[in-house]
Amino acid sequence: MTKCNRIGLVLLLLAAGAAPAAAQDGGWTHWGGNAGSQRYTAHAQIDAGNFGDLETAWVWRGDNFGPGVDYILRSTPIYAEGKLFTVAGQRRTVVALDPATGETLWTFREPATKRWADSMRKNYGKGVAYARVNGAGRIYVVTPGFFLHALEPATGLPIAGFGDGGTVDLLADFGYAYHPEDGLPAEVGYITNSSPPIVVNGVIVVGNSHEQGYRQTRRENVPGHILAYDAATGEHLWKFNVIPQSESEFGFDTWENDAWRWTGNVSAWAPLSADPELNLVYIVTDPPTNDSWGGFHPGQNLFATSIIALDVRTGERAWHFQTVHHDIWNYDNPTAPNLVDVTVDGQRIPILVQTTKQAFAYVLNRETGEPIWPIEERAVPRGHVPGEYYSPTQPFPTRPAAYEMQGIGPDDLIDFTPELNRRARELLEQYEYGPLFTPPLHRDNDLGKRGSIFCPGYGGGTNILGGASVDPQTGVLYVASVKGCTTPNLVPGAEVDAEDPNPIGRTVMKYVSTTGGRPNVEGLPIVKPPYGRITAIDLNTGDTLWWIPNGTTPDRFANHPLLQGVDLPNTGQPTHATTLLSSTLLMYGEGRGGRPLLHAVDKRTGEHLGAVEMPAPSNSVPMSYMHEGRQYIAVPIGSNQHPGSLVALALPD
Amino acid sequence: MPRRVFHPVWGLLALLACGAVGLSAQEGRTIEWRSYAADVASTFYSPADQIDASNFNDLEVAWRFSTNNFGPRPEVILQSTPLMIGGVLYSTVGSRRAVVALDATTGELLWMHRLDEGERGTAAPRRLSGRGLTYWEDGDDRRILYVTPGYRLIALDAATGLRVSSFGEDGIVDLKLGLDQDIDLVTGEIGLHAAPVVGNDTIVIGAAHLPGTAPESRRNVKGHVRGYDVRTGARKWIFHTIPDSDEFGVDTWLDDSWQYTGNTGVWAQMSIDEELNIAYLPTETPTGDYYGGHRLGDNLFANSLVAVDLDTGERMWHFQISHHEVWDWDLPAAPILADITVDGRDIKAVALPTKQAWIFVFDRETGEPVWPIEERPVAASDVPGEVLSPTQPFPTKPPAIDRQGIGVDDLIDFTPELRAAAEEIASRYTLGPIYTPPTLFDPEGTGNFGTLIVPAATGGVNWPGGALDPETGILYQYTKTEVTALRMINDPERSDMDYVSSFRPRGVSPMDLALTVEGLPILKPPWARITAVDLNAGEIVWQVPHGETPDHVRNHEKLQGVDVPRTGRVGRIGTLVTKTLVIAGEGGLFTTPSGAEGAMLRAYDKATGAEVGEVFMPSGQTGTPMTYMIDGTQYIVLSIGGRGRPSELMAFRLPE
Repeated sequence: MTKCNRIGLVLLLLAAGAAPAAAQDGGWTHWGGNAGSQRYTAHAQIDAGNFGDLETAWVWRGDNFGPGVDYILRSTPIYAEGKLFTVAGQRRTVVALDPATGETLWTFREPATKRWADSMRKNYGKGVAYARVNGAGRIYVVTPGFFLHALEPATGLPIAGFGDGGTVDLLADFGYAYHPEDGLPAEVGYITNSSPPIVVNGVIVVGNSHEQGYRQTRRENVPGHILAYDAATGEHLWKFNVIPQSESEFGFDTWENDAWRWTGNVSAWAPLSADPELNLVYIVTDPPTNDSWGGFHPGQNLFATSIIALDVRTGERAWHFQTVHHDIWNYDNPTAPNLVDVTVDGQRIPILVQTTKQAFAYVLNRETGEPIWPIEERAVPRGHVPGEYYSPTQPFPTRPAAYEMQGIGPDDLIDFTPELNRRARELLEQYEYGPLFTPPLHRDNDLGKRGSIFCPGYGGGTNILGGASVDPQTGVLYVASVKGCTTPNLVPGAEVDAEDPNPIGRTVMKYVSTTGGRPNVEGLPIVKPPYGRITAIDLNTGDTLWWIPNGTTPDRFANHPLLQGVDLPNTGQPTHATTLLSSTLLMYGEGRGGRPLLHAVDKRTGEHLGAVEMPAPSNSVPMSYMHEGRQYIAVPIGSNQHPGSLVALALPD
Repeated sequence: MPRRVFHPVWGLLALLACGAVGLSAQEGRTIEWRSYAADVASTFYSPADQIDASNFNDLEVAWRFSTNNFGPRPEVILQSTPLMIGGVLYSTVGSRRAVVALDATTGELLWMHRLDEGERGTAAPRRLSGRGLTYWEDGDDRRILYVTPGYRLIALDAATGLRVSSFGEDGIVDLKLGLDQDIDLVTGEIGLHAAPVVGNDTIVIGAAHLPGTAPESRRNVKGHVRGYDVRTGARKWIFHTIPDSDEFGVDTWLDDSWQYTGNTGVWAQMSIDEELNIAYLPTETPTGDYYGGHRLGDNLFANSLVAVDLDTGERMWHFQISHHEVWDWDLPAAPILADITVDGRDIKAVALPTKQAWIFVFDRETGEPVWPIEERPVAASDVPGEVLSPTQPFPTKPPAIDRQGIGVDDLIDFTPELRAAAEEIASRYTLGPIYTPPTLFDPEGTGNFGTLIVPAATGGVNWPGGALDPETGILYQYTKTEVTALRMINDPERSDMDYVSSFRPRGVSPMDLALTVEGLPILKPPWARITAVDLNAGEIVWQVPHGETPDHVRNHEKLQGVDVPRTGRVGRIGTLVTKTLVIAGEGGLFTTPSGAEGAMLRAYDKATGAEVGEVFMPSGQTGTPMTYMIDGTQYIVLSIGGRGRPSELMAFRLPE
């Protein structure tokens, strides 16, 4: 265990600014800590002075919650009624845990259906929702089979008066003919879920997810319409069409042919945020069907790749903001928006900030949707793919600055040695490259290129495994990102469709994206480090305060034969850091693929204070809670060698 | 129009049905494991034959089930033998003794049941996961029953894990009530870690207490045995293991000692003959494992095999295995029901393996010994107030399956130097044949450090018991060869009994009490073995050491150049018999052939005892293996664990 660097000055500063410890039990009621997804804990028992003393209080093993051992655990627990609640495994079994010991108190497992078996997001479960209804608590979960269950927190038993004996079949209100056990017919589409619902003022709002869009070979699919239910009864309240389904619906005209009829996806797979006072729920969406080819759905394609604010009582759109028009970069909005109040030019403003794969933080007034700082429509490159529609402009925030490399050019390439730079350049020149929003390119193009390369790539920038925390005290955002690029290679859809055993839809698309590989020099990225980082952005001013690498240089880079003799800077881990904020600390795990450490950083300066060991690297967003006067930090962990598990850290008793 | 048919009731049923439906749809053979010991005859036998001598070494891990989080802290001595019914594996697990239902092909958790007993659970004399549970069915009414650490009998719906509300009070029967004694519901010292046993709709419940080396008092809760209606949870009968004033056997408790003496429970597994409608109860020692001065007399029905009517609890017959027992050689294991042929005569027999390393064999209808059991004189005690039985029962057949008694010839003789050191240790103790009594600890006076007994107080045989091949009438029994020092001290601070035993008396260095020479046991190996006994002939068929020689012996510097045959390794080891094999894992760890620290699951040709295969386990066996077949695939499942290696269930199968 690495001890904190106890730097006197830092401690003095911290002590001066320390908020009184929140002694009450609790502290994490939603996936992101609270409805605003701040990922901030008010508990301050763990601080800079004692962080290095943290030890493993317990480990909860997630091995046996599906037909096979799962090496992934993406769920962040919530704390309610003196218990932890989370999901685990391919079955997305709901479990209640003793927060002090990790003892499993009860489990709820949905029976197997074909709908479950067909889900492509079985082990992506991110957790559960909790709400009090008529004085009693309830746990809500949405399953891979697309059912919504309401459970008693004390026992895990279904709530008899909710839906049909505790269960709502979400397909029943989705608007498409389906088979109750088998789900949607494949030619119609496919829907599943990975994120917990959110409960706002007695209304459950449910998002969804699809097949990974870069895999889909046919154009038909169902849109990821948003569903809402009465938290007490399970009664269906409203549905919001994420692709307008009639001329009277706003945005209908952004689908220039009849593509709204058959186009699907546009799902809200990220967790949701909400402002109960404003009665608004915030939903962020992904691109329309097929992440990289949109020639069959010309237009701006509302509400794809957008932020949508809906009135939770009615499902009516309060405002929306499309972050990418006619998205063909798979720049889906990958994480719940962070809500916080800031002071801009002397004015207190309720804001929403959306961090993205493209490494922009979009900062909007969450009541009105107005940008806090101008967001300009700027011209972007046109591509060369026959039949594709290219939006002539895309929105560019003027503030804050992008927090990760956007676009790619020769200056971005590694130059540790001339040889490395030459080889990286050779690789780069095989692709069409350019600024942000350089579009995908098809194989057999006239440019003689293998395809195009765009950065950030499919994985971000920012993505769900990392995301961001925001500080309610200071209005500072801490966002994790990686420097990554994608080389999509558009090939005729028929080629890929022929290899797809279970295609969704009927009509084979003209182009389908396949991976063009990740250009590298003997395993080294072709771009300069850092490869993963955390950036602090003051949302009162839009200024970037500092950034730090995510952890330290991986051994495979540090020991790389081509880098011997090179004075390598800290490259950071090329993984998505998982952050957790407290009143004094920014804590983070290095994320899947990183080292098994939980770090502490002075949240004002970015100064590294220490790190403690965990049984495996963090796999998803950590959380913190106070239980019987003891503060715990619970971190979902996992690796290719370590089954997805949950570790709880606490100070020695 | 979309239809809404998903219904939780349908769903909960499907929890189980998903397994069962899959089975009926397939052609493959299915063999279940419906009772803790395979059946209520306690045979640990399965006719499964896919895994055999030709392929045992090919076994692969099918799945592992971590029990870490089924209690407030991880457990390391999971003793469970699970059940497998309808594609679902059921087990007690974890320090809370939760019940889990797993998909038997994948180890996926289907449901769990857990009762937080609070202080009553913490005060329980027999905590942790217990040895297993009981299955009962009548048509669609399918139940899992188990006893909690706090001594509650719980009936669960096998499909859902929900308590059967019509059973007891919301699925629970409080076993601390209806004991014909007033005991504190929280602290009253009684519990059970064995699996209950059910036959003809009666579930039979035994009783266990704290280990009785040095009880605080001569008074304790009596471990009566009871029968309950498995449908309702109503008590049907109670059998007083210590008789009341007007009951048979009360005269075997002198000075009214039946009034206050307790224990005498049945903590071992019991067996049932449903056809004869008889339950077989192996009882334990009364209060005070090593001193009987406050309970003079033979002490019926302590240390007895008692046959009772399953409907009434009425005693049909009994046989006291040791009279007025003071060696802690209580009856540890299930009586095994065997239909045998002796000298041309078919006998419905019951064979009882004991800590003393005998197999007592009776006609289970009548209680008549199959071969003569002789009362032979044994030594008297020099402990003040103690009056031992002048005789003890000695079976004439089969022969003892492990060493009995200890003399100088039993000490290690790897080298003259080691022998001399062992003799030096033994010289401080009283040695003698079996039933040599405990003696006073008097290092300053007589110089006596106590009595050495072999088998040890923990056997010989212990709770895993034996296994029986019903096709051949051959019984397989693991035994360990260890020594215990019994030294009686007067310690009024610890107990109101005049004498108690002390493993570590104050004022004596542990070094001086060690029964080892430079880390080696003073007893000659083998230290553990498996014996095959033909119950038709009353003879030993084969005997092999079980378990690789421990690392510290193999690597011992004083033994370099000495030929030490496989010594066997000590554990609490149960055996599984299949169509062709006897299968048992090793206890503890050693450096396995691959170099990895672990233990081996071993297979022996059941006819010859020849070892025919071994497969690696990451830790030692802690519960008896079981086997089942689903859809044509045979699985072997057992509990493993050890210090620093939290318990898990481990399942093996052949490669697909």
